[in-house]
Amino acid sequence: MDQEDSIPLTIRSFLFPDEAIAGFQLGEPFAMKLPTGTTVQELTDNIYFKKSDQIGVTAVNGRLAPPETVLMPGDAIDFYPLLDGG
Amino acid sequence: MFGYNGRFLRVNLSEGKITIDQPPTDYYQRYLGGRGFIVTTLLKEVPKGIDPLGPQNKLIFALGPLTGMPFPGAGRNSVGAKSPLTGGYGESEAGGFWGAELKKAGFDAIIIEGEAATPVYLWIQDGQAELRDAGHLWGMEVAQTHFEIQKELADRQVRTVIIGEGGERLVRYAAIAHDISHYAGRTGMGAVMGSKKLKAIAVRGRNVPTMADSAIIHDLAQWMAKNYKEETKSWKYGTGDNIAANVLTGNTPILNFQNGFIEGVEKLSAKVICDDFGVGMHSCYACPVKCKKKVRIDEPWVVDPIYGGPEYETMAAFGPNCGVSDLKAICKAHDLCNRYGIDTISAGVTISFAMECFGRGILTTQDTGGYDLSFGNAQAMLQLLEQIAHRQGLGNLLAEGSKRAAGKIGQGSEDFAIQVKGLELPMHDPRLKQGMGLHYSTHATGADHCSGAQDTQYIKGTLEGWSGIDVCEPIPSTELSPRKTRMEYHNSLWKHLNNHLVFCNFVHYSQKQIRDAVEAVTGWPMSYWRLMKTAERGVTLAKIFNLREGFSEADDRLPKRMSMPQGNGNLQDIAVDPLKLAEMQKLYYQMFGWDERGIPTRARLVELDIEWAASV
Repeated sequence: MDQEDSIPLTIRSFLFPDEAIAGFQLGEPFAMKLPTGTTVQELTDNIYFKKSDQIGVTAVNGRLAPPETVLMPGDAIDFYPLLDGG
Repeated sequence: MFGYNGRFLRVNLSEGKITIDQPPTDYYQRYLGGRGFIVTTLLKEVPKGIDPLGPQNKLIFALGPLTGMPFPGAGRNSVGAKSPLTGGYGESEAGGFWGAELKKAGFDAIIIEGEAATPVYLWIQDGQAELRDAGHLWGMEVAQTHFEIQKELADRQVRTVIIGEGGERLVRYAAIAHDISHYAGRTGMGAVMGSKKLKAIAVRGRNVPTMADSAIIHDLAQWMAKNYKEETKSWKYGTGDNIAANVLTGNTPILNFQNGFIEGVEKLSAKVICDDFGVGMHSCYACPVKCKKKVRIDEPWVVDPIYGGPEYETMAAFGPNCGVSDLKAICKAHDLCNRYGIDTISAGVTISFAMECFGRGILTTQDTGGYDLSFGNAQAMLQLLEQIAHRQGLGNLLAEGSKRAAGKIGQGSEDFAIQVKGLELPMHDPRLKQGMGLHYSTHATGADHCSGAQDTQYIKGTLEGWSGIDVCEPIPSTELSPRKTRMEYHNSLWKHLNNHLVFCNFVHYSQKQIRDAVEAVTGWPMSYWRLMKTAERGVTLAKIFNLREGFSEADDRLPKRMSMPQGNGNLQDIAVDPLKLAEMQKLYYQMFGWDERGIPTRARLVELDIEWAASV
């Protein structure tokens, strides 16, 4: 990936990714770079290509983010599972 | 029988008499355990209209077929009675080790009758039972009582259920501690125990009943031990690791259910609590998941890790719901509730009710004894908790629960008492989870979240592993419709089943694995249909108990506030439509075979073989 065409993001997820990602720990932030213009939906498809139906809430910078949201440099994205009881 | 002992212990505290019942096999087959044992005993033996805190009420501890079997999820027990908080059917469940120990000690249930003249505790060991003086234990905190009993019995393996001062002083939402850090919190069962002057039940047992096919249970245990990190979410931080998502979506109540969003919530999470104050996790019987936090804080308040740590309901009830962001204060509120044996949900929502009254000038510093009870005042929240446990000052009124307190305070405060049938709402807002709202409004115990289907789990369709009873299309959580009512009916019935199996909601087996487990333990052929019918039998009998006590469809209501949108956040344009709710309630009743007033039809009673209940 061309460094100039990519944006740095911080991702935190409470679900294991479909395939191992270096540095991933459940609920811990990790850094990732993705092409400029990547949307929340595209990021989701990238990490959760098998079990996207288990994702309940996606937030960007602490706010709910619809799938079409275009990610910006420095954004912090959180993935939460389908919300259960407590 | 396999999996059971075939014996109930009956203890009459008024007469000091202990006897053993041996229910017939078909009783076990029909009701399986837990709620089935509790509600049938209450309907057959407790007269209509009695005082829940009087000697005629009965307190029943009940196990299920899976209790005590050597696999994860089997450490729980149920406890039930006529509720002093609602006046209707009362029931609560807890994890830990006590339930499994009781099964190993030779009993499937304990029926407590009458009331003792002076404080006592019950000691059960390998099929034998005796009452012992508890005068020296009365007034002690939960952990102190536990260790004192272990010392007295000279056995550190003794398991206990105990009431604290909350139960002794008849706080109407008093809880029962199981092995110090697991609590049967809801519906005031600790107050019933206190009214009987029963401080504790200590148990030691050494024999697990034989299973019909132990290999299947051992395979399940091994499967869960291998897969629990994938199959459960709570092994790392317990519950509350996603509280930010709950706030973002409008699920977590803010300021007594007035608002839907509050800033700074990212600092309130199970992860932060575990990272900053955690001293490990602890578990229940035969379970590797270890989903219970242990928290230690030394200042400004002492939080003792022996009482565990706050889970989602507690974090939300004393946190955003009371406008409190101080994590140490939230942990201390949890510590106080457990020391004194008080339900954290009802306590949190009753205090948030009082805070709203204070903010509106309905309660003043004259009522509080001088302190400022505004939302966000953590010190006042903790002070009020102490007063509730000891029934001092304003705490004496609030120990009655938000519904009774509002009835005394008046001035429109009834609208801020967020309860159903007197039971305060859990931390799942029905404006987001509208199927859960339907469940809250119609369930016999009042607003219970454990046996309701969580709408937010079904937004993508059928849950993985849950297609044994039904398939459902993706349904938005805020939708209230016939298809949502069908989803709630099917999926909450499966959750009600756990109240008969007395099994854990947090270890995520598939429906097939649960069916296999019940069949393997009991040896009885088990179908999904039969399991669902067992759950339906329990729900209907609990409904009949309430009807007998004077409840009607008018009591199947949500707080008025739920028909208004939240003040901010994700759900500012969404509320529960009362007309739609009434329409879906009628549909829901009919799915259960009840008429439009919620009265079970004769046909359904006959079909469930519980027609006897029509004449109790």
